[in-house]
Amino acid sequence: MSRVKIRVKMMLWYTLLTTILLAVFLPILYSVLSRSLLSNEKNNIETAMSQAMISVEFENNVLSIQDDITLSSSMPTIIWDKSGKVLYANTKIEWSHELPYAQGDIRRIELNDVDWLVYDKTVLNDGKEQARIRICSSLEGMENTLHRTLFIILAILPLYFIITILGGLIIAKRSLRPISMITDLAKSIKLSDLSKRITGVICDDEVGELADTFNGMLASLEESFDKEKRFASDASHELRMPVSVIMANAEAVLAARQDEETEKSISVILLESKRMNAIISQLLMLTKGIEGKYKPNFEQNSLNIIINAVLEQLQDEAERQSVTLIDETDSEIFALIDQSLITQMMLNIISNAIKYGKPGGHVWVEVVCIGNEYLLTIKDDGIGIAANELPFIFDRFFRVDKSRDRSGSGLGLSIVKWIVDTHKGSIDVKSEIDSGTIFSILLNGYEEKKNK
Amino acid sequence: MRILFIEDDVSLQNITSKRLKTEGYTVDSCYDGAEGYDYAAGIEYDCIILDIMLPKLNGIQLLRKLRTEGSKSNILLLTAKDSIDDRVAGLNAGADDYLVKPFAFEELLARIRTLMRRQSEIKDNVLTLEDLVMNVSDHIVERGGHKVDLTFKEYALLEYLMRNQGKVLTRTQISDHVWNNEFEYDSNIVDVYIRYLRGKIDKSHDKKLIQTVRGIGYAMRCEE
Repeated sequence: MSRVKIRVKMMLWYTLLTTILLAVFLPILYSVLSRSLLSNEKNNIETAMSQAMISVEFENNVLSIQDDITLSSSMPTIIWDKSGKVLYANTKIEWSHELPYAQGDIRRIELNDVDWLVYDKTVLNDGKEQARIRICSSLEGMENTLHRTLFIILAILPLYFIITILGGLIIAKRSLRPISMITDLAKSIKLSDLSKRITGVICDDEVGELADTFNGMLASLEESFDKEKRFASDASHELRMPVSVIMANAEAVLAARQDEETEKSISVILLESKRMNAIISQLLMLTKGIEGKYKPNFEQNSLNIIINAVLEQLQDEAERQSVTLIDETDSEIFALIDQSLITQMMLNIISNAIKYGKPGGHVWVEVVCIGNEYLLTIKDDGIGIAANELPFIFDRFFRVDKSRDRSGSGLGLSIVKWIVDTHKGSIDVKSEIDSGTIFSILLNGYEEKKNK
Repeated sequence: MRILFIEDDVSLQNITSKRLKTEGYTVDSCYDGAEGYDYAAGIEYDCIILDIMLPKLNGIQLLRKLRTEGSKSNILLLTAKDSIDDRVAGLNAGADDYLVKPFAFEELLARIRTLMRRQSEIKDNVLTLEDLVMNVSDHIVERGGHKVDLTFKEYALLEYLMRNQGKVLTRTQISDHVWNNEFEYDSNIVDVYIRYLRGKIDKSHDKKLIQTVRGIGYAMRCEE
């Protein structure tokens, strides 16, 4: 999964594109420039040659060079007669005299790190060789120009990249700004409040379209969530009445004298209708909670008092299951919590631990402070939960072992999860089959009480 | 003892009134609000058990009508609705107590008995029992001269117990009044809160003020 933001991606693509363009065009530019400079030099040398040719006169088998020869001193020029005697030379550079004569095209030779062009031409008269002309031209000037050009290109490149990258980032950021607005708004929308909409993005472009689409999606989500919520609470309300009637009738039958079998059956009816009532109640609690109808009441509370009282309350149940309850908390801890909710949460988790304990087993409860937070641990050495079932234990009506356990509503841990969420805490469960389960609840808002 | 029972669900109406009769009460049964009004306007009943959701005239409207006309009957509201608003409206309109459906018959009997004793709640701002003093206007609780720190719900529970001191209150009754049915807590929660209160009020004193009534609930009184 790529974690790179679009903004950076856009900048990288942009930079890559311009890099490719530069990599293609700069060498072309450079080679065109060097070719045209070279052909310029060749033209010069050819012009000089034709001037030199004109200046060589041949009359009555005598060679003469016009006095007004105006050959550029920057171009070393040598003229020999047919016997090889130097008729004219404006240079003393040795190599220019010694280089073997080669009539034909302009040659390019390298001497002492400097490139030279050498042009040799034979002066003919009546088809007979009369004189030889050599003109040399240094390419130093041209090469300097090319070097300077290359240097400028290399010096500008880093600057160019910096500008491209920064410019790319700024452009991308500017054009993506409405999207980050949408992101911020979307982050602030929680499941409990789907009524929010993205506002302030008014444009007809792709982003405006995105905002509209997002709002449309939120509306349909809100609708279906509302429907689901309403279904749960409507169903609960509707179920209450028949349950009241069943309970009232079962109680009435039991109140009169009955034979043993009838009494047994009716007791089951009464028991099950009470259980059904408990499930309805807890479902309503959960839907009310999730709908945000419950306003928590956060106060300073001693967690030790809560743990003590809950353990005492569940002592009888624990004894029936031969489970020992142990409070391992050694310091007094105060926390900013909703007392009723945390009490309910403890009751749910600890009674679960007892229910799924083994005879002779234990349940350990401990609270410790970790900086500004406090960690509540409820550990048992009971039957444990299989790893593949662990992710679902907070789901409504999920049962670890569907066949064995019929008591309880299947909502206890969903309620626990909701309570932890209400306190903006986190809950973590570790379990190993046959060796036990550990619930760790991390809540913030710890505050030490100055004195008792 | 004459009871008027107004409930539109026929089978609940039949079974409940039958059982109330076997308990020795005289029971008149009605199935809608208008009929209920005719009955209630004719005789001053000792107790009217009134369902909120009724055809023709709903429970709250009927209740208001009766109270404005000066009826002094004890009125117990029955409701299957879980909204606090309904209950608050009922109490504001002059109901003496309310009970949430489904209820155990024993619970209904306990509520009727509480109402019949006609001991109205103590309306004072300072509630006392032995050396326990509760100043409702200042939200201060003291036992034997020492201030007791209570949480919001502990305070609400103590106030309810103190206002009804001497009476036996069932767990459902306590949770209905203290938690106002804001939430459907486990029935254990009442017991746990009684433990919280005992720890803060009775623990370091010889005279225990919060009494457990086995099989029923709790009462606030001084142990003889």
